[in-house]
Amino acid sequence: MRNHRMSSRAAIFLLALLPLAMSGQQRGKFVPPDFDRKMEALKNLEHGVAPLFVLGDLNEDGVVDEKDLQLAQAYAQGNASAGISCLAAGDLNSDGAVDAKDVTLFQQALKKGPIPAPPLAYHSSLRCDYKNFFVASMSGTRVGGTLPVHFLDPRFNAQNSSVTVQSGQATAAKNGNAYRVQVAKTAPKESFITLAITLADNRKYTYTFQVH
Amino acid sequence: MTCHRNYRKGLALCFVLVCLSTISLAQSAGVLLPQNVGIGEQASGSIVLNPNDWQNVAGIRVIPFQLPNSSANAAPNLSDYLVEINPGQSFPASGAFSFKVEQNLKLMIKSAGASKAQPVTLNIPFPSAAITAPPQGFTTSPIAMGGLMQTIRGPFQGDASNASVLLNNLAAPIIAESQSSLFYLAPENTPAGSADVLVKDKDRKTHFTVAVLSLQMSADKLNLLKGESTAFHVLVKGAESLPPESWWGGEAQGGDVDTLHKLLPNFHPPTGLDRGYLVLIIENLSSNVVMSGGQKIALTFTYPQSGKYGYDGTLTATKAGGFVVNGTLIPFLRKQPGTGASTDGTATSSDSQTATALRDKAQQLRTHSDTLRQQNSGNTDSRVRKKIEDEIAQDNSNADKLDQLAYDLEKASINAANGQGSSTISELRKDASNQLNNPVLQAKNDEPQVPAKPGNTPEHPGTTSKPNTPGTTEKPQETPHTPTTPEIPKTPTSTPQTPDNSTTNKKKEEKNDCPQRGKGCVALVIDFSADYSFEFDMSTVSKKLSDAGCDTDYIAPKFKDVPKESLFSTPTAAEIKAAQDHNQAQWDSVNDAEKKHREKVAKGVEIAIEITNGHGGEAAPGLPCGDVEPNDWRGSYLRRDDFHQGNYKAANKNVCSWFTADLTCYGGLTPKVVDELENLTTATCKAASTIACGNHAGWEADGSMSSAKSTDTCTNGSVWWQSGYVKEALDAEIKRRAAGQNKDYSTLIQALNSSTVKSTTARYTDHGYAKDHPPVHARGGYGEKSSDEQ
Repeated sequence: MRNHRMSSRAAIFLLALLPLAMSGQQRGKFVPPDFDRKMEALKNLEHGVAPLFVLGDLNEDGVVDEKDLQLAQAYAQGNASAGISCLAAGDLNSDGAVDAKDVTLFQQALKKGPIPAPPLAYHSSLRCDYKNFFVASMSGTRVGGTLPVHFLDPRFNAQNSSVTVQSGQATAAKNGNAYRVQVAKTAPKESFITLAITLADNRKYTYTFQVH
Repeated sequence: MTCHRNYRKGLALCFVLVCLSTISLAQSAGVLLPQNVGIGEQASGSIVLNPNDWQNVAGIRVIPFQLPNSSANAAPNLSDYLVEINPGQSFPASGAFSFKVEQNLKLMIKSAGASKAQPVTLNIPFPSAAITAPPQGFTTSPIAMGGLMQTIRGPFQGDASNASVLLNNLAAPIIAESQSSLFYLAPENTPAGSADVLVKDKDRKTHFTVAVLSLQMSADKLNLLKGESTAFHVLVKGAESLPPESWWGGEAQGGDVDTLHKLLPNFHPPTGLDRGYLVLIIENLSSNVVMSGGQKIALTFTYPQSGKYGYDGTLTATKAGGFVVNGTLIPFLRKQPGTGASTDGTATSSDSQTATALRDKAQQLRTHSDTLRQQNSGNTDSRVRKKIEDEIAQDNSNADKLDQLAYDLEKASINAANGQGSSTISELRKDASNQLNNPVLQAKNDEPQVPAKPGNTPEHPGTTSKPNTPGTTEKPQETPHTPTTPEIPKTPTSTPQTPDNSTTNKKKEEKNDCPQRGKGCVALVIDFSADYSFEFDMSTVSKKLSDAGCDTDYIAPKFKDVPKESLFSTPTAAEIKAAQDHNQAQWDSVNDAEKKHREKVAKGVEIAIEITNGHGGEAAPGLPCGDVEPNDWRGSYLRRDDFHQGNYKAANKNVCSWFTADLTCYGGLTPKVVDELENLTTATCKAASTIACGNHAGWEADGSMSSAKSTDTCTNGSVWWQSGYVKEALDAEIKRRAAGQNKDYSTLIQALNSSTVKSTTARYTDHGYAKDHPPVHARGGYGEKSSDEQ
């Protein structure tokens, strides 16, 4: 999958140009802190692969709990966003804002008890620092296409962590240090596929992507 | 139909071939029979004196033999011979003969006069095939060519003695006939243009309107001295009279595909949901002349064509003498249905009216199927395509049935009027009444046939179109699907020049400059990655373009996430629609930017630049050049074929240089389609590459680059560092402008055309329509070998 022309010379060239990339972030595009290091981890992966964030995990501690709810409530009430490192995680209804509606959804979800396998999310127009980014993937793929799941945290790899298909027409298999999810050619267009991801420390997450 | 026998009307030197051919084959003859016939079927055949010309003609079987009593001093004349099928059943050998197909056909060809020459007896075996059901309706190719055979499919009687074909009221000889096909020879001198074909088969009639084409080839000089040049001209006359509805892909007739594959191995015929094409292949067969644009040039024409259907080139002699240039015209067009024509005789007026109504309804169904084709051309969803193709086939089948019913009703009505009892007329009238009031067909006509769904966007990204229905007053949209740009392409204003090393001419050429020199730079940057944290956007490139003085439109759509069900929320339909509507508006802004950019380019600029960034899709059914889109599915996509074709049309002969960069995965499909546009003027991503410099858009140089091969994905990094080549060229231009060094963009054109393009993973470059002399095209990264990299 790597570009054949990605020679060492070219890689040096890339690094030299990275500051330009940062200066070019306009129109409100959020650039997370320590962007260079994070981008370095991604640059040789497939175009479109990005770290996922945990929906509901505003402080990025890996779990979704009352602390996150309190942060969301405070933010929705116009208080300071101190402690929030991933505002995108608070946008539970994906409407581009963290507000009272999200707080209500949050309360309803936590009322049912601890969230055993929070969902991972790919993209938001809201900011996220990706402090503990450990899984990277793409937003979706086509009918018959493949979707990679990479482990960016050195503690996790395809040998000690697993990816399985929870629902939808696809199969998941190890591929080197990553997993590769193969969407069936019979999968309906615009259908959703949900993956179950279990990390080596037994934390569980789900990731739902759309077939297009 | 392939006009590969055009030596009979081509360049003068070809005449030698004709003479040789006539002398060496003077004694030969052949029996022509329909190829696919079953035992017991009625059929007809004929005798010809040029059997070799009929080898590999689709649908025809050739049995060569030697004519008796032939004289070396006189050319044989078929009217001097008879064909005897059974004792006492003789036919003039100059016309068709009919027979019933049996295991063996015993045929005797003998002199009609008192010649004592031995007759020839042929025993022709037929395979034990059953008679296949004839087609219910009549169809034929929408084009005909004088002197070449045409085929009509339909429910024939098989007896040519009861059949006739009139082409513009001139009798066209029938070559062969079966119960499912009729083969006739279009008269040699039929003028190019629209022509009426009236077919009678016993008491059945049908009518077609076809375009008679003629392939005209000429050269200003027919014999050249060493180093001497001459202009030559190839013109497909009559193509402009082809009706729009015929410009759809369809089955090529006969050996066309085989012929084409020999010349262009990678060409794939368009399907019924793709645009139709006329492919013109011009081939220099002489080693003593060099043809401008290459030794073999393939040109494709589609609808609507601006300018002539032809090509002007130059031949330069490396040795004194004549030359042979071969032209081959291959149509990939939809067959035409025969329109119902009244039978001979007088039916009752009410039956005639009913028959007319049935034929009108048949036409409505055919119009409906054309509309479906138009709306679904380029649809990427194979299941939807299959459904539409099935529906089109059903429409056409129903139309054929209605035509046949009209015919049967009229025939029975005539019989009844003539006092011959018809036991079936009441049933036919009832059937006709049912068909005209058929609730199923009626509902079928009224309901939208194709769901407007995301992804079904053949015209513009982000748009859906409401299907038209037949039988309404709404004017059918222009067919077939055409590129998104409304601009009309201009034809090449100059003929590609031939190599000339004279100092005088070089000095002359230096004085000539691009007509758009000094008219500025116009750029369009469509950036689908601007909103994604971990994707490199093109805002920096856009800024550099502006700093370099380019009139730049930077379009970075801000799409909204379409909410989806999660552990936390279940979105309402209104929430989903609101996001979708927002995204639709973003796609509209992309369309508007394209249109605005093309308008600026078409007015004439020194350099036109388009850059796309985002996620690239590979070639897929219905999407032969793939697409560019944002990372998340946002309801639509940018088709590479339409995007570049529209830009090519705007730029063609209006710029000094046209430059494109596609920074996406599978982006090599962009240089691939640009190559095709620059040389074939089409955007199918299926046609093999060739060199036809007269089709290049820019006067000086054109180029296209990408961050990935046409068949590969790419990395996040490769998108960035390959865009660095464009930035380097722009940085240099900015510096030059700051130093007041640049009056025009000729340096930037050279920079983009040389190191920039050639350094990237996939690329195409040429030296413009005015300066290019093959072989100088650099191609790579999309399955085409470079002529200068081999």
